[in-house]
Amino acid sequence: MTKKTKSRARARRERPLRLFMFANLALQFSACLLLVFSDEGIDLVAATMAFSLPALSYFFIGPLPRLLRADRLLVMITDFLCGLGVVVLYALSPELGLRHAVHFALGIGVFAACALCVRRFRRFKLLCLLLAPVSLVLLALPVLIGREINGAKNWISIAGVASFQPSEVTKLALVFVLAQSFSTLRGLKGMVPGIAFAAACLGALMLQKDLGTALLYYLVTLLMFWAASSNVLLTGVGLLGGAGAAVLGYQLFAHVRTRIAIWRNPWSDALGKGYQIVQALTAIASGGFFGVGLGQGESRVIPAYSTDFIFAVLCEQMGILVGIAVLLLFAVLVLRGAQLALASRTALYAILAMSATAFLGLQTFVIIGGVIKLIPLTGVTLPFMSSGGSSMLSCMGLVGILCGVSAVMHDEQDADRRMTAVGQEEQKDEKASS
Amino acid sequence: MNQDLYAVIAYSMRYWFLFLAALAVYASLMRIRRDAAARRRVLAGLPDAGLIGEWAVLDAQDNAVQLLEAPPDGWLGGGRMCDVRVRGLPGLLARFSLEPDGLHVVPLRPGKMRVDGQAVRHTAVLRHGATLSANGVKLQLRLFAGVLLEGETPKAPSPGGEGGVPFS
Repeated sequence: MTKKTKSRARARRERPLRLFMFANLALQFSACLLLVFSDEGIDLVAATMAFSLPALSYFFIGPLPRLLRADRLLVMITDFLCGLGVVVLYALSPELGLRHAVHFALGIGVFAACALCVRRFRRFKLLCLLLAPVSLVLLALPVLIGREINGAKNWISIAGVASFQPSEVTKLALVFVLAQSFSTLRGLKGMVPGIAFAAACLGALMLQKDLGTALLYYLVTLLMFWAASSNVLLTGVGLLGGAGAAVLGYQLFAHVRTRIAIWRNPWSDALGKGYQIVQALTAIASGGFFGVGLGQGESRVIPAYSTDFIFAVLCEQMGILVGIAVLLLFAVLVLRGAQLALASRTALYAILAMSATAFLGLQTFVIIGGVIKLIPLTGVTLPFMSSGGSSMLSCMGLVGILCGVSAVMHDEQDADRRMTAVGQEEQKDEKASS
Repeated sequence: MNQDLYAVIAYSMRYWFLFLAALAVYASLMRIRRDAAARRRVLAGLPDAGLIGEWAVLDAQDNAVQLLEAPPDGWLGGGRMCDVRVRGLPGLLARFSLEPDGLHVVPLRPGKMRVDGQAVRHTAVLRHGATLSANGVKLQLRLFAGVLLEGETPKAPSPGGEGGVPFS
């Protein structure tokens, strides 16, 4: 391939990313500019954000991935979803939008830290030995000193100023511990520490009554066990165990029975227990294909509109078609993560990538499925879009892990190219000497 | 701004936001497609990418009768799920992984495998030329010259053509 052909091929390959970058920055700028006039006067904060948010995004999708050798497509999708989350939340409440933007900026730091950690440290045994006990202590804290919100005791308040959810932070620890443990050479015996850690996390989450997060942890652990061991029998046993636990939960806990009843027919108690789902469905329907307009509509009547039901708010304000576009972007994110996992050369990186992808994909499916009444509602957040610092930081960390695996793959390909180039030079020398 | 005017502008801008969302989806799908094509082109020029060498199945006279690709990590055995599948070996014989000091091989069942004539109970570390045998099947590990283990130095290329790969 000539130099000219190579640069043309590269430009052709870069074109989709340039289009994506334009879409990201244009959406953020135009939406913020619109929100400047959403009130009676001029919203100066929105005017500042119209320039600062695209600038932050440009840093996140431009120089930073090049520095970290991160997968630019993953970064672009993450940035699009975060930016969309900021503008939708700002339209609901400027304070929420601003807080989400700050969490996004902090999340970029967590993203970079996780990407560097995966790329630089090829072994995670010491990291896991540190993360596992710290995570278990963090998970136990809400049970002891946490505050109850919406029936779950899974928050810790820090000096009354801020609060965070330890279960979100522990997600990252679980990903590293599962990857380290399940990639062992010792077979099933070597997997026991990982399974024990996951079981301990599940126990703590059940005590917190955070059933949604417990479901995620359980599904990811089971999926990784199957991917690592290919043991269909034990995976089936795990699946049956989970189903049994679900049946037991239905018998023992009234709020589980309520959730199932509301899922089957929310209209039976439309003003009571089914109010949330009914309002969400009504909001999605009232938005139609194109939405009612940014900052319009009656999204605030939906309980937890900024967290669990942000997807319904998005569909109301921007339309079902934009909602479908968001779903497709999540699907591409999961597909890309799965591609990274399949292309990894070692089990450690494959399981690392697969578990990060599984967390993001399952969390998205669980919450969107609950909002549109496909499955019973659980209290998890929509990655990148829901309000909440803990959620944003953990999801950015998961994308950072994926980008770290991608960077390792690029490094390995460079090493292959170097060896091949030197080998080809050797052959040229031999031909010249003969 | 007058709220009615804002409502009209917000209503009109829905199509712009939809266009940008659709553009984002289109760009991401195009990028995936072009990345896949680029990857195929790169891998076509790197036939040994992701491999560390080969396993040679030896006969009674130690002649290689079959050559198998050696990945850095995986399962060795006779089963379909194995990364290195050799007829005659038990379904799952051992798990292997390349470490800085050599290829670590851990048998599923202790004592069922021999490395260089020694029975392996826990872990064996194989280097270039080591032989592994089980169930009457004998394999020899042949690492690529570019795979440098601890304590090895890059070899200078010899005029005969079978040299090491110098590192820049």
